[in-house]
Amino acid sequence: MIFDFTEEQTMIQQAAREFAQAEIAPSTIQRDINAEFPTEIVKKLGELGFLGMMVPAEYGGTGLDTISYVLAMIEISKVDASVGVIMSVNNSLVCHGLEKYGSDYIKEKYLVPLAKGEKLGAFALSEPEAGSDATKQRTTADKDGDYYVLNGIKNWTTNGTTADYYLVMATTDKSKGHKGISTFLVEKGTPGFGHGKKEDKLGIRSSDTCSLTFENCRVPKENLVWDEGRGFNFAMDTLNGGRIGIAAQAIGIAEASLNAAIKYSKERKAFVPPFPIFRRSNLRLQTWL
Amino acid sequence: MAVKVDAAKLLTLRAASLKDADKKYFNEVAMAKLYSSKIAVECALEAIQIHGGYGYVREYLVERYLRDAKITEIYEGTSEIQKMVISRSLLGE
Repeated sequence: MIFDFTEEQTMIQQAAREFAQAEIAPSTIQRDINAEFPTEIVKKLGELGFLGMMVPAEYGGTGLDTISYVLAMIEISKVDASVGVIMSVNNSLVCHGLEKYGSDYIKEKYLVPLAKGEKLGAFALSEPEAGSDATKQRTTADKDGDYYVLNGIKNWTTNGTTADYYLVMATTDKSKGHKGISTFLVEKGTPGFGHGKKEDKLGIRSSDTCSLTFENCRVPKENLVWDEGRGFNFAMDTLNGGRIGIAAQAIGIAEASLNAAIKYSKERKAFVPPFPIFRRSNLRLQTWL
Repeated sequence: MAVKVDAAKLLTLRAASLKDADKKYFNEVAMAKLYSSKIAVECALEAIQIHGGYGYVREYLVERYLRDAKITEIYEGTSEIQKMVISRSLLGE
């Protein structure tokens, strides 16, 4: 096996690296302290095509492969993992899910603006009583004429207050257990759809996480994604893709840690060569790098 | 740290290339996510240790790396869920 990136993949990696340094790095520390969402950065990421990287051009995306996406995610997350997760959710969970399973109507109306970065997406699966065991969904969606009526609570939704379009898993047939779960696309501003306060988090503080509430929220039946009862499969498949994004995000953080350790050790060497910390630092590097 | 970062990249790029080739990748991506998130926390901790006291203050970036890294072991499937996926695949379930 020979590992080599194509010219295009290297170009994307370079573009992401330059963007992260020029546009993201200057505000990272302040946004972390203030838990401030990177509104302008997300807008620019969208304009450059980083929010719909793997979506074909016909649906407003950049039409790149997953390798390019991984390389870009690493570069962005090296500088700011909060921006990384915003990007990962829109690309892997929302755009990918709609591209693979959405109707033509959904693709035209929702995927195109999401892939172009004009709108931002969120993915709502977790609930207060359904975390790792996602089969225990309590949010319900009852058919009523041309609508589904959603009721329930979702937890830990990334882009929770800032997204425009939300993919929401809800049970359409309780008797079928997890085979009775379906996926709905819910627009921000739909009556009965609200959100809780922004979570005050340990890390990725510049990303926006909150709970969502649905109280008799009427969603047009056209906004059912894939078929009734396929919501669990939908979630599991999109999460597979999402895990590539999160793995890349983690690699970005790990590589940033490595680079910081190298830089610090070199500085020690440059400024105080005879000082014992220098030798100790090098020893540590040999053991840990 | 360097070896861990490289190994994580290889696992993740393998999962990505399987996805690009339209092949099954649920087991490989579980491995990639499990390992990458684990080493992100480890590398951040090691970077803090190398920095000594400086690693513990905001002015140096490494304390944020640790805070940011931890969530990768939790969201989009915890490490325990990734292990479940891998075990099921090994047991042929």
